[in-house]
Amino acid sequence: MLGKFNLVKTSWSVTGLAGKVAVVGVATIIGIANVVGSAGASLNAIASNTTPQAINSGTLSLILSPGAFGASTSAGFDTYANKMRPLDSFSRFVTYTTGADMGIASPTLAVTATGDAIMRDATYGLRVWVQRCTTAWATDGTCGGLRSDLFGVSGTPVAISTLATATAITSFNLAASGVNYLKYTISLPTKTETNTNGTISGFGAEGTIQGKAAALTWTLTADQSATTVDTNA
Amino acid sequence: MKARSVWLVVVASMLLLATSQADFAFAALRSFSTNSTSQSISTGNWAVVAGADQNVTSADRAGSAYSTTFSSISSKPACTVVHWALYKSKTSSSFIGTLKKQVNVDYIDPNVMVGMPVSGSGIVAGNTIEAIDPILKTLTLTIGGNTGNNQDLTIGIPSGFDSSSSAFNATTSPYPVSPEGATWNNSSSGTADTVKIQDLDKFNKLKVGMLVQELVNGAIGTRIANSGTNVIKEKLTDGSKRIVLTNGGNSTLRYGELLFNNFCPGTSSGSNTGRAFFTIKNTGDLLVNSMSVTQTGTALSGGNSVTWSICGGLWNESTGACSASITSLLTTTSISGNQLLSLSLAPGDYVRVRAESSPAGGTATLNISISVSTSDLRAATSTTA
Repeated sequence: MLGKFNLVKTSWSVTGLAGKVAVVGVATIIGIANVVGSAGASLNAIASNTTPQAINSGTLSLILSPGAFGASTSAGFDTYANKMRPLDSFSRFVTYTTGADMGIASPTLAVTATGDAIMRDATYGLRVWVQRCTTAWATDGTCGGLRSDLFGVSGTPVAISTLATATAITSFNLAASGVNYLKYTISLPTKTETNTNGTISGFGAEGTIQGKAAALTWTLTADQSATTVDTNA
Repeated sequence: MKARSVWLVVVASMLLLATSQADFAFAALRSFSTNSTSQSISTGNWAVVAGADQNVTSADRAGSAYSTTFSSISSKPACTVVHWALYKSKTSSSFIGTLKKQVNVDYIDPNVMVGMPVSGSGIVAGNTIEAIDPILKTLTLTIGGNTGNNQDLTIGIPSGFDSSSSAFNATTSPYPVSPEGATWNNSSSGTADTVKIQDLDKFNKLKVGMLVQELVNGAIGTRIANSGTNVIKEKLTDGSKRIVLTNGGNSTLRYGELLFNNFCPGTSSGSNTGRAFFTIKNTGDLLVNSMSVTQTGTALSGGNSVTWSICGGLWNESTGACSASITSLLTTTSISGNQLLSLSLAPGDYVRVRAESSPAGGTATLNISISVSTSDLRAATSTTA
């Protein structure tokens, strides 16, 4: 015989179709229990916790902000890099901060590049070297903590075309409230071209590198960290 | 019937519950972090072109060399008797070794000889020319007198006889030879019948390597060498002084006719230099530090040379004069080929170039082609911001 019971309402806040379906299911169970109960005994015993059990869902966040280097704050991704020549490079610092509620997992980085094709060319196009430091970068761009290469290594950056699809980051602070200090060094590979009397020569099917432009959008993606079961309750 | 309905409801509810729990298990959260403003990157252009003025563009050239025509000018002194080895004043000088000095001049006659004496406000007559670089226009001198830092070469070095007078000025003359009272001894000196001997009252700063010329016939003279019979003997065993030349024929060198030849860049008076002005402009948007220059045209034919100069102030393009100091950029001959021109030009900057051809005059033409390669650009930079 089923006894009458009350289901404590929790403060779960769910959204989306899955959540709504779950609420409907719970409500259905309550209805069934009441129907069965109404057919039986006349005595009731009620035991309930006087203080509602508070349950809150967490928020997953990953905040991008311009990074500091020394006493300066980098312009991050918002600055222009104009009139580059082959072998020029420039560095920008950005900081990714994970929210305090939960950690992250499986971070990936991708870059969407628009503009002239040669700027995205695997051989002649832009290259990037992404480094992570465990502390804020120094004024001279060096890392006073532990430095790790995320993409590319010193002297051998990777073509941005290789990051056209999301690529796993293997060295990252995944903890809640974790801070990742990243340095993006973007460069152009060597390329010899000659302008004679106003006409450019010295390039093949790839075209000239002169007077070209690109716009880069960097996307860092991370999942919530693995679910945990609190066994201490 | 009622119990069956209740049972079905329970089963449906359980299914819904199971479905809901399964959905919860897959509703993992994901966060994206993206720069809202795309990071803009662009590359520069590099180009330097020559043209008529500062408004020249790359499109004006469109791959073709710039052609200019020299106007005939008359900037060199007329040569009658007095000839000039060095043209215009020095621009700088520096010591390059023990008792040696390198003097830069604006013009060096191609016939200046090693060993020829020079004179000026600072360089004493008799300083020996050790080496000549007609391209860089430098003389390397062995310093025999004034060793000051400001040694100069005055405009023109007189050969010894003023063009307006046949009088010999022994006091002020820097002449290497003072042939006063000298007579040719056409008799055999004992070496050969064709040998002429010039007996001189005195030898003054005569140098091995000089050319002497018999004026009357205007024949190219004989270089005084330091071997064989062409030997300057300052003092013979009998006490006499004389020049011994292998100068055949019956020409007679008389007083006032013994000249040091080829002090003149030309053989006659009048125009023998062409001049043109043009502009070199950086039409790209990157700083360039150098460029490759190729020149062709009649201005460079027949052994002519063309010299580019820039002015620290403003050119007077009518006279060719500069309001400030003149800097020589390069000298080109027909065999120079591609030449590296070290000239730094910021984007949009230009220089006005004076080109002078010598000895070509008239309507000589010059075609100027300029190339800028990646290696000519400013050094690659690595910036942080």
